[in-house]
Amino acid sequence: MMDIVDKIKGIEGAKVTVQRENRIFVDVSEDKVISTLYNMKLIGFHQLSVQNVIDRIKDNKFEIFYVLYSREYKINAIVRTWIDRENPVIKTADKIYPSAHTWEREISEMFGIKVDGNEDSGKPFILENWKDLPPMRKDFDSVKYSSEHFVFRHSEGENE
Amino acid sequence: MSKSYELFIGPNHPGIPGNFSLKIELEGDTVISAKGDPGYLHRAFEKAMEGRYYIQNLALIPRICVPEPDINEAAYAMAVEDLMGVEIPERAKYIRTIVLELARAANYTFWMGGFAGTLGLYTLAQWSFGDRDYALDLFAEICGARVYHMYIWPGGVRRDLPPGWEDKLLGYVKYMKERLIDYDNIFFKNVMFKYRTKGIAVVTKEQAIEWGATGPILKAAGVAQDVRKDDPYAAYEYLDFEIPTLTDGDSWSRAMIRRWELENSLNIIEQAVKKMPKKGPVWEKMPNPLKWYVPEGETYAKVESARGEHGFYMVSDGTGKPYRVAVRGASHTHMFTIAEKVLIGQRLADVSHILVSLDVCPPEIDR
Repeated sequence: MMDIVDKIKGIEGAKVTVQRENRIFVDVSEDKVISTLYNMKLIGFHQLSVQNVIDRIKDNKFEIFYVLYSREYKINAIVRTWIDRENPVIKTADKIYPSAHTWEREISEMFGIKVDGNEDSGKPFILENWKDLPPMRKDFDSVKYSSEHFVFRHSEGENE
Repeated sequence: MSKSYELFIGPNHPGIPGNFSLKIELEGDTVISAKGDPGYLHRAFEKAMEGRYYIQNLALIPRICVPEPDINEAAYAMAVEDLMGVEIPERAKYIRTIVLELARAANYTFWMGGFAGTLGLYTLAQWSFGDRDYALDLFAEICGARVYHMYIWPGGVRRDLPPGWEDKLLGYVKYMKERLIDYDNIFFKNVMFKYRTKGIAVVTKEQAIEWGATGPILKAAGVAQDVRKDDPYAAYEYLDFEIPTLTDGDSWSRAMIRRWELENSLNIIEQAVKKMPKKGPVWEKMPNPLKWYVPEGETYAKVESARGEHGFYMVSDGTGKPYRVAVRGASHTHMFTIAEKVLIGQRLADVSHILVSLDVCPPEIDR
């Protein structure tokens, strides 16, 4: 395990934290994320399991995370970066991990993050005719949205 | 001059595995492009989880995969336990393994029926749907519910097994092993099955790795990768089992891998029942649900589903509700990165069995 940790530490700008056995966090700055992913693939992290976003609204940031897996080392490495919440843009990772393409499409719809280099960024994916705030953002109030758009249905036998 | 046309398969089509749509463009009966169209099952589970207490989410998460709900309970529970630093009791580890393998066996039985149906072999479909019910009856005895169990929860399992349940379970295993011979005779040794699926929709080893395949697609291409072996959870590290692999990567190989995995699951259940501690706690006590604060942090917990790697990325801010939960279902990658590519060049009549051989589960995509 320490062998692979040392290799990751060799990637420029990577801050490595071992969470527990088989789980490593690799924190990088926004401008280094694509080169880090490229280097991670070179050292054996062949699989992107999931790419998604955490809305850190108090810090006015979006945390983008990529869960990678190496069959050789049997380790998950989680590459994380933080971008500004205002006019958020990331670069596509789909040339390195093809499965990133659809995760990025989902991210752009659910969080309103533009993905440079991904031609499907911004195209409708799961939602239909959505005109409100991107729904996975913390400032989107799903209860308020539901009360404004749907009629409350009383259960049978319940007093009106 | 050739002229192409568009065709929708699904959301209401017997050849689509669930509420999902596929828009294909054809020339004659040859597919020239395929695009998945998700969203019919989107119920905003990830958003809904942020507004509910940890224990309340147990009612939501099994619904992320209808045919195999228990993987969600296990991955969710493991993520919470990871953040809280909880080790579950030994007996609970074995019970989780048994439940997960029973769910896997039920899923493969269900899948077999769907797959045979797409090839017009409805006898197997009727047999296997009926046989799946015996597994659901066993679930009903341990938790009162047939499909959505809410049985695996943080700290272990909800309650101990009822008296005599293990004997009934072993009876089911014995019955299914005998039944597999019938399945082989009517379907897996059937030349029609072989003719229709051999060499169809090949995913090579290199492609499977490059495209991020997991589960039977990867195993059918010759890669023995399985979370149960590579990052063992529950009681898998105490059990002896092999990961089946084939090399052709076609629709036939993926079907055969699932058939062997079903047998594998039955063997694992037998071993787990034999090795399981006969007494002991099944739940590491958790706090009162309203004061159940999970320490701040983030983690990724994963299990092996019938389709591949299934994971939960969980973030806690130290309160009683998760700050963020992201679900990773194998079908997300298998549909958009793999199915859309391998369907090109195939014939219309093969589209349905190719999709079922890739086992795309729409609720894993929509969530």
